[in-house]
Amino acid sequence: MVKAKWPVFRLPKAKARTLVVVAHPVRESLVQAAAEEAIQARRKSGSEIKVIDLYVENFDPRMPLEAWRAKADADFVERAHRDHVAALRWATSLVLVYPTWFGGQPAMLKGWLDQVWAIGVAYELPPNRSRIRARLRNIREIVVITSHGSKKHMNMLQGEPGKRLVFRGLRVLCHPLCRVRWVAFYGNDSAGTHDRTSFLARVGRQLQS
Amino acid sequence: MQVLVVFAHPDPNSFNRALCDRAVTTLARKHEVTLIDLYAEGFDAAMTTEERIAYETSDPIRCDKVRASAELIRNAEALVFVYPTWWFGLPAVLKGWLERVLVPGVGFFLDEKTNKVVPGLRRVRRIAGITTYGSSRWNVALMNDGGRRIIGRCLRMMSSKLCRRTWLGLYGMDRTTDAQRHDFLATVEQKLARW
Repeated sequence: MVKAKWPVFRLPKAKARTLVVVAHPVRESLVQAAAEEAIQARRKSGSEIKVIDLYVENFDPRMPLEAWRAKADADFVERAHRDHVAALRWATSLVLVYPTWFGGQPAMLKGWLDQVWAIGVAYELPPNRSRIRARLRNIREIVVITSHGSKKHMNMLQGEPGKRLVFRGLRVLCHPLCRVRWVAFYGNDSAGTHDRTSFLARVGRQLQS
Repeated sequence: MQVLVVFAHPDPNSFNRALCDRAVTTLARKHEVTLIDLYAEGFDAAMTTEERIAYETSDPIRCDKVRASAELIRNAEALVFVYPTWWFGLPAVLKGWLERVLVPGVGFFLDEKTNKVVPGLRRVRRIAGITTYGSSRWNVALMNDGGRRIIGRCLRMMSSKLCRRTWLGLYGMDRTTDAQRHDFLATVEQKLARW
């Protein structure tokens, strides 16, 4: 007997747009290799790609005094960081690639968040409201690729501030159903070549899907 | 006691500046206080390529400002951090200061036999954080207090085993009144006067 075939309605799949933000000073490092791997994997899966390498761009992570004084002014950020703001609004998927230093994002990436994820870009505060409203609803997925010098239990003792910042702080400003994927390498200080290559392979697998 | 106060706010007219001044004057009554004002000093936040490559060698410090800070922190018996909480954590310049100054040989040592990390700030007996939050206490608790974890845990692990912590936070900064801010300054003075 022929099985009845139910019609399947498929929404046309929107093309993925990936923004990769990299923050590592050394070109030959594991983190930079992981970023390269991630870009290749995304390209293979047919996504459009934009890359922001904060060290290559010579981004200054220190919040300047003018930016601090203009912290309630949404236009200031758009003027100061036009390309980065445009890239954030364009992306459906955000990939952050960085080494975990002192439990969290390195100063370079933290400074980028401090300055670019500002009012008018990441959130807005409607008048007479006490709660902020998310503005980056175009981002449906955040992927974090990071390396840790110490083992996992050490980071748990430290309270994993970097992981919490992404899972709690950044996620609420993106799409309500935004997924966060944590692709982390622990124990880099005591790892061998095999561990590192298998981490790179894991990055490739995770980002192709 | 040798106290090192690290201050990280760009605005010289800010409430954080007032907190820093109050902390310094209070502590200076009994102790020797050194202040590092990261913005006034023009401290670069990001670790450079050269420093990252030198990190695992025996001479990881490549910049005079970092060397001066490292010398101060080696002699310190108490650390006080005054900063605004941005993005549930430390401002980039303070995070960068920790990364660049507390390198192997200053913040910690690697034991060559066991390959384990040995604390390097054994002289530090007291750590305090003085900070202002835009969010309410509830929201900070829910989202996470990265700065408190980094200073209270990561840095605590590098210090003396008997090191004590003090945390002074002003929550919901944007909605506070003048009276509340005065109260907070008084609290800072009162707590630090006991050191």
